Order: sequence, then C-alpha cells, then structure tokens
Amino acid sequence: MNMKALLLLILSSALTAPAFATAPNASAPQGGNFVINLGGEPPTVHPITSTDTYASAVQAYVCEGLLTRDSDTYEWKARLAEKWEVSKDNKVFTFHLNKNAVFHDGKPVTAEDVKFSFDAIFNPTYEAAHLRPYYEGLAKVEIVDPHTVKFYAKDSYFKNFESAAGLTIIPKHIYSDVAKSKRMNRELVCSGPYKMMKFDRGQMIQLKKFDKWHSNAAPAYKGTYNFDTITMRFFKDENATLVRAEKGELDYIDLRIESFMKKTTGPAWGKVIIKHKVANDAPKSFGFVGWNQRKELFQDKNVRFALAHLLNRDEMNKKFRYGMSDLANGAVYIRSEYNPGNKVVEYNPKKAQELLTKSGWADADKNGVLEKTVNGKKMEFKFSLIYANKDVEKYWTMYREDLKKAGIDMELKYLEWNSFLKLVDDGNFDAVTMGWGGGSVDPDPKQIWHSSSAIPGGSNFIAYKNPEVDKLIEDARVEPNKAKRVAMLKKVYAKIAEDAPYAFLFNDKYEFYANSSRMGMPAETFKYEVGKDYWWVKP
Amino acid sequence: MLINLAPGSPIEQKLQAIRFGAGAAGGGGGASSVGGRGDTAVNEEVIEALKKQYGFDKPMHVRYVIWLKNISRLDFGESFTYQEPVIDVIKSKLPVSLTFGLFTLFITYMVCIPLGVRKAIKAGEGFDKATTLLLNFTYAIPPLILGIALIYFAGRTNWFPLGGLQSDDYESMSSWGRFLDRAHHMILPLICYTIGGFTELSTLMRNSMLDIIKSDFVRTARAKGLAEKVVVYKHALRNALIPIATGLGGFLGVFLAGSLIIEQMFNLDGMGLLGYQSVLARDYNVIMGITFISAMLMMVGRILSDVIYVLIDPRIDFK
Repeated sequence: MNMKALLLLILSSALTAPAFATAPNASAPQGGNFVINLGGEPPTVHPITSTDTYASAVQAYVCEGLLTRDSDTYEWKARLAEKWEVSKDNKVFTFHLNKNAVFHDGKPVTAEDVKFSFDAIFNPTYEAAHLRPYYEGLAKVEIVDPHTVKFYAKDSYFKNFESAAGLTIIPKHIYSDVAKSKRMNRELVCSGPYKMMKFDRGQMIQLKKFDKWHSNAAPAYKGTYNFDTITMRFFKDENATLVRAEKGELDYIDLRIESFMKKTTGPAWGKVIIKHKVANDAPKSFGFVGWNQRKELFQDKNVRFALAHLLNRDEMNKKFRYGMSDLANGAVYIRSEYNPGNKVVEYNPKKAQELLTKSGWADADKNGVLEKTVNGKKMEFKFSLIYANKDVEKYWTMYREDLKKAGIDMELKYLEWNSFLKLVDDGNFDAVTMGWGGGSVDPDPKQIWHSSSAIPGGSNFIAYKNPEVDKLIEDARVEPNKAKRVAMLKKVYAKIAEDAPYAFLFNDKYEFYANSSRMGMPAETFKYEVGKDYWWVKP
Repeated sequence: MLINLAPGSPIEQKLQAIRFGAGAAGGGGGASSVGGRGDTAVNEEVIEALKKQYGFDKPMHVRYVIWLKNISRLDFGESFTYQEPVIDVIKSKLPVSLTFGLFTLFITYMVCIPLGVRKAIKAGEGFDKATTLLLNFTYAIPPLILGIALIYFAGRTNWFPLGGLQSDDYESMSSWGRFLDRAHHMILPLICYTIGGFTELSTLMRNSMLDIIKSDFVRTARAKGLAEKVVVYKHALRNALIPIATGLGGFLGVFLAGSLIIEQMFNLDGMGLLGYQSVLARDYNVIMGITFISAMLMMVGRILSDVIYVLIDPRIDFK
C-alpha cells in the first residue's frame, strides 16, 4: 500500500469515527457572554414555588443537586456530593458533601441544608405540593455529620436514588423564613456554577460565573461552564427571535423543523449564524391517537389495528415533516435500548379491510359507513377525535379522508387546552390525539400504561388494562439490576405494541438548533444532549 | 364568578405542571411525561393541599364576599402565577401600556383633528379623495403583518431597535440619552398601535365638521364678514369637537388594555400580555384585578368626557 493510499485510509477512518464518545475541551477558552432566549419571562424564580420551564432554565445554571449525569455516558458525576454509597437493598443512600461547597452568599453548604431542602417540600407552608410526587418514594433525610447525609427510601423503586441525587439543595438560612423568601421572585441564591446578577423585568436575566464554585478546578468539569456571563432574553415571537439571531444577538436558539427548513435562508445563515440538524439518543416525544378502551367500538383489537393500518404515516412524514421523522413503533423512543424492535404498522388499506370484515363490519345498507349488529342492535362505525393543537389538524384531515374511503366516519373536534384536558381527564371522548414527551433515558411506564393509572385525572386516560403488563411493570420498578430491568421493560413495550391501544405516530429523528458563529464547541451534540454547557466564545 | 365556570382552574394548572412537566401549562398538543416517580394521577392529599393553598376550599359565594372586602382596600390578593400581590404585578405592567396608550391617543388626536378639518374644508377635492384612499389602506393593514414587516425592516437596516423598552446600557445613560433611547424603542410599536386608528377619527371629524359648516350660525358668522379662518377655527371647530369628545373617555380604557399581538411581537411587557397569560393560566386574582381597574378607568373616562363637553360648549351642563 503506497503512502497516499495509507493517508487516505487514515483520513477516511478519522472521518468515519463514531459521532459520540466526545468530551468537553479541557483547554476551552474562558470568558465572554453567552446569550440565549428563554422564550418568555419567568413569573418567579423561587426554587420551590416556581413551576414553569423558564424558571427551570435559570435554575439549571444557578442551582444544583447532589449529583449530575454525564452527557455521554449517563453515569452519575459528583456535584455537591463528592462521594456516595447505595445500600444493597437499594433503600439507603449516603452522600458525602464537598467541603469546599458554598452558597452564592459565601455560607457553606451543609447537611442541614440538604435536610431542609427535602423537608421543605413536605412542609405545607412552602406551597410545594406540585413537587411532592417526585419525592414521595423517599421517607426521610438523616444528618450523619455536618457533611454527610443519609436518604431513606420507602421501597426499592429504582428511581428513588435519582430523586435523591437530583434534589435541588437550597440554603436553609435564606429560604427557611417562608414569608420573606416567597417575595424573592426575582432573586435566587443557590450553590451552582453561576449566580444571578440581575433580573430586569421584561428585559433579561444576567448570570455571572461563581468564582467560588466547588468544582471550578475539578478534572470532571474541565471545559464546562466556560462563559463569564450568561444573558437570558424573553423574546416570545418566533420571527423576531430569528431576526435577532441573524443579527448575532443570540448565541443559541432551538428551531422547529418548519423554521429549520424554511426560515434559515438569507445571507446571515452560515456566516453570522450556523444551523444544525443533529441526531442523538435524548428520548424524543411521540405523537399518538389513543383509542378509548371504555368504548365498545375500540375494545376489538382488529378494529384498533385496522385504524392503524389506515394511517398513512409515510405520506404525512413526507408532506408535513420533510421526511425527518421515524415512524414510531411503540411507546418508547425508537433509539432507546428499551425498544424491543416492534414491527412498524404500515399503511395498508387492504389489510385493514380484512381485519374489519373479520370482526363483522360491513356496509350492508351501502350508505358509505360500516356497520355491525351487536346484541341485535345496529352499530355504525362513527367516532370523534379530539385535539388541542391546530397545527396538527392537517394530519387528521388527511386521515379522515382515508377513513372515509374505508367506510369509517371520523369527526374532528378542536378544543381549547383546558376544555380538552377536562374531557381527557373524565375519560369522556372516543379518540384523543396528543404527544408524550420522551421522558427519562431510563423509563418507568407505570404512569401511562399501568391499570392503576386508569382513573380520573390519570395518565392512562384510555383505560388500557393488561394484567401481564401490570405485573412486569411492578417487578421492573423494584429490580435494581439495569440489564434485567431492560429485559423486563422490553417485554412490556412489546406487549403494548401487540395490543395497539394507541396508533403510534412519529419519533423525531433530529434536534434542530442554531448557534452564533462566535461559539466554539467540542461537538455538534453529545449522546444525550446538545451540550451547550461545554461551549465557549472563540477568541 | 363567570371565570370560575370556565374549565380548568389554578389547581388544575398546577396538576398539569406535575403530570405533563412544566412546559405544557399554556400549550396544546405536545406534552411530556414526568421524570419523577412515574406514578399515576396526583394523589388526593396533594390535591387538597393545593386547594387550601389557593383558598379553593371555600364555596364560591364566600370567596366573592371576601374578594369584595379585600378590594375595598385595593387588595386584589396574590397572583397564583407570580407569587406576588396582584396590585404589584399590575403596577409593573401598567406603565408600559399606559405609555403606549397615551402616546397613541395623543398622536391620533393631534393628527386626526387637523386632518379632519382640512378634509371637511376641501370636501370632494383631490386632497380629500387622496387622504381617504390612504386612510382606508392603513385601516386595512393588520397590526400583525405590519409588525412582522417592521421587524424585518429593522433587522435589515439597523435604523431601529427590534423590540424591548430600552437598551441594555440604559442605566448608564444621561437623562437626555435615556429619553432618546426610550423614544427610539417606541417608534416601531407606536406605528403598529396608531396605524389603524386614524381612519375612524378622521372620518368622524370630517363629517362632524361638514355638518357644522352647513349650519345656520356659520352662515351668519360669514355674513358678519368674519374671516374664513375665524369662522372655521373659532366657531365651527369648537362645535364639531362635541362628538369627538364622546369617544375620548373610552380610549382611556381601551389603550390601557394594551395589545397582545404588538406586545408579544415587540417584546413589551404590558397589560395585554398579562391579561392573556392570566386567562390561560386561570390566574383568577389577576383577571379580576385587571377587570376591576379597567372598569374604573372606563368610568373615569366617561366622566372626563362629560367635563370636556362642558368646556367645549358652555350651554351643556349637568345640573
């Protein structure tokens, strides 16, 4: 092999190296300002009483928990706790606090603050009822010494450790005065890598690097949090946001697929601002049509499969999603290790017809609508589909026409979100369409699929009930070994797909975003997130 | 009372935040599952805690009486969303809408009154026809489209700020510098606010003026040999302003309400956006506070109109 061929081989090998297994740049230049758009102004940034995403985005930089996840491996990394132990029965978690950790006002972080942060959630005066479900698996926090705490779990549920590790630690000396701290809706004191400098109503929030952050010199955080300051804007209008990005006023913006495809032309793109389309393993949402199992019409599996076979997802993907989505094959992200590899239900009107005929549906009176005799009573194939997002109406208009050809009469009903949710919570609908977010990398399907969630206000609003699935879910929840849990949940997701309680729609294949050309970054994406915490301002 | 009957309540907003993650409260369609324990619907204990937290444990009519007692002291309660007294939330948003409202009012009247008079004097002539055409065109422009066009224009030319109330370095400016900065930021939004308002008022002024010019006392004034300018501006104008004054008070309430579209587009944090977001979030206390204050302003506006009547035409009194 001559040298040129060898060189080409080396280059091509480098170019085809795996997209992941990337790492922060330990020599990243420090300094500069990072400007992002929150999309709206947080009404309050109080660490306990706030409930919106805008406040969460601020708290992600200013506050922190005991541990955090690595962006590539998803393993736990030290944060406020430098060491931790888990008991064999998975019910006692011991955390050893970093002795260098201080809050932004200079006071040390102690075990007292950890205990306070946990107890506050269950104290009625803090009005933290909205947080309790996340922590109800934990019984108490015990102080061992000023820098050691023990969390006691009520059971062996595998996510209990995650709850404990992710608990936001807030300073007792500031937030224990309830009446006073509740007024702090524009001030936030925590121990995170950035501290809040100012919150100008209607204008922006500015954060500044906290020079006494406990892990500034830690090897695990080299190349992380490289900016001196972070500015957060409150631009609400998408067009205005894009114009600002084109002027270089924003260093990072999320893009919708429509914006990515249609609004990223113009001289600024590729120069002032650079767009990205990235695939990673962060769990993506899936849309669905849920069939209400309380309705006799949808209790027949053949009917549910027939309805799924009449859904022309390939055409929808092509026309409305620029071919950028995967067809979902079940209730878990298609790239997830928990996905059992179910066969995708393809568009097949002929097969749908066979299934319907097998179940006794026919158009005996030739009026264009299938009917069937049940207990001596004629039943026509008619139902309504409720939705709360006008943007998706085009999908359902298409579907309605395809159903009509098969003799099925579907009525479309658009409802305002609160009215929609009322019907969903009461189980008072035929079919419903919306989406579920990707959830956790390590999912727990109980909320959506367990029969105990089939109650008013529960997330199993279609009343799906499968005793085998229930058992597997219950067993998986207390299985500490991840490999075994993966195997159990694969069975769960396989059985759910077999039952077809939803017609699963799409998983997004990509995330879309743009960054200003001032930004340096170690990679377009990490395995589980884009990783803008590792970005820097180019010199 | 009526707002309590709409589906959804602050408690349900909080429950949604728990079930769907914090991002879904005002949205539709997409939702995300909670990352926590993954258990079912929020349990009864949490629901009861939320009800007590917001005072929903009392029946509606008791709540109403409590509310009446509170507003007599200008206490509208606390915003569910902002965790702040309602009066403070409104105070922080009102200046934005008030500023734009008053400037819109001022500009609209200062342009429309002289324009209407001139159109009346030159009724049927080229000037009248041309301005009518122009006004109908501006009347037809939706603020939404104009706003988008102006934002793109500002983005390309750098002549105007893209939104917000002031520049980031506002605090370090001199007084004069601050004034100019604010004025500079207001220009594009004000164009959106005023564009559609000229037509109605100009037409009203023109028609009112025409009626007056044809009346007997104007003919008498001319017969006395008074100069045309004196006839028009001293005698006719004063009378023609009476129907204009009728609407003046109403403007006070309308403009203070702000405009959701313009506020969202230009990133202004005013009453329109507050009202809309409060309705979506079912933040009852803020909704009631805004409604009450708007009603008060409307009444004050009407009284103001009556006072202006007396100033314009001393024959009118309200004994």
